[in-house]
Amino acid sequence: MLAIEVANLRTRAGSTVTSFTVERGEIFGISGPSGAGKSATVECLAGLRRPGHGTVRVLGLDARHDGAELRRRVGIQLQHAELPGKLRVWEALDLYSSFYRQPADWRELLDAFGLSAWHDTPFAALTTVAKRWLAVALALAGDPEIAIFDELTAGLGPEDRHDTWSLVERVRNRGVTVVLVTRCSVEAEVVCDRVIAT
Amino acid sequence: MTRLAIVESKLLLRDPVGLTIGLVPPVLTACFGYQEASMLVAIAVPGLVLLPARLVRYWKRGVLRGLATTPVRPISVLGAQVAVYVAVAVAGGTLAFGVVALGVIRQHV
Repeated sequence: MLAIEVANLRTRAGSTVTSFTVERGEIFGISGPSGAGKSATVECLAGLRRPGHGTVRVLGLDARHDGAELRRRVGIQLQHAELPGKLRVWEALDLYSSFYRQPADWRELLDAFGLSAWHDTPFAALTTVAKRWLAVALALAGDPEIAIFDELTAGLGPEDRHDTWSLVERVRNRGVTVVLVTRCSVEAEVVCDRVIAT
Repeated sequence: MTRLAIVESKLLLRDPVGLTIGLVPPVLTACFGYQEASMLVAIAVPGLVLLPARLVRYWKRGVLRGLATTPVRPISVLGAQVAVYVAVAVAGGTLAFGVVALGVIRQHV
């Protein structure tokens, strides 16, 4: 069954036209150089941006009109989104869970994504990799059907990068369809079942 | 929105600078004898300085973008902020009123 259908999507005038489909349970990669419109594309999928041209259907919904419903059913980790520096890890998870009608159990997410050791740590004191893992956990706070990760491993060292890749695999094993945006073609090859280059 | 307001209050209490800026000026104004002005300061500092500064910081650092990915409504985010800083204004106003009342009592005793 298809989770995502994108046809002739153009995020802004003059940008390249993309079409692709994503099956449920897949790890789907979108790779390409900076400025190719990868982030804009996934923001359309999550209902954060209206597609300029073309059709985007996610979970059978029209991304142009059903943004509110998509925000409920699609979790996304954004490239440039931080949390207040003094907000503790458990508070962030507790807060994000409170936004959803049927949230995931955040305590379980905390354990599943190796964040238990950071339970009471303020966001500002987290390492880069812990911040990314927290972003993954927050994207899953609403128990979404699709999770989108935008440049999840940018700026991480090789070891952290490998750990993060196995984390993505674990997200998929929970039954979540994953869309991974990356500039690194190696990452796309290693982690994804299928890749589209923009 | 309640949860957001609770989290915001916690963050404010962890930030002594913000709280000082909110509470000390109205009390000082009252101490110098400007009774009406102290109420104005109690309302203006949280409303015109602290609240916009916090929102701008959230906007700049992508906190608002992060919240926009969830089903929470923007009006709830704003409402929680306003609730917290109204509480600061009330606290500052109460302290300043206390100072004024103390002065009045002293004059008559």
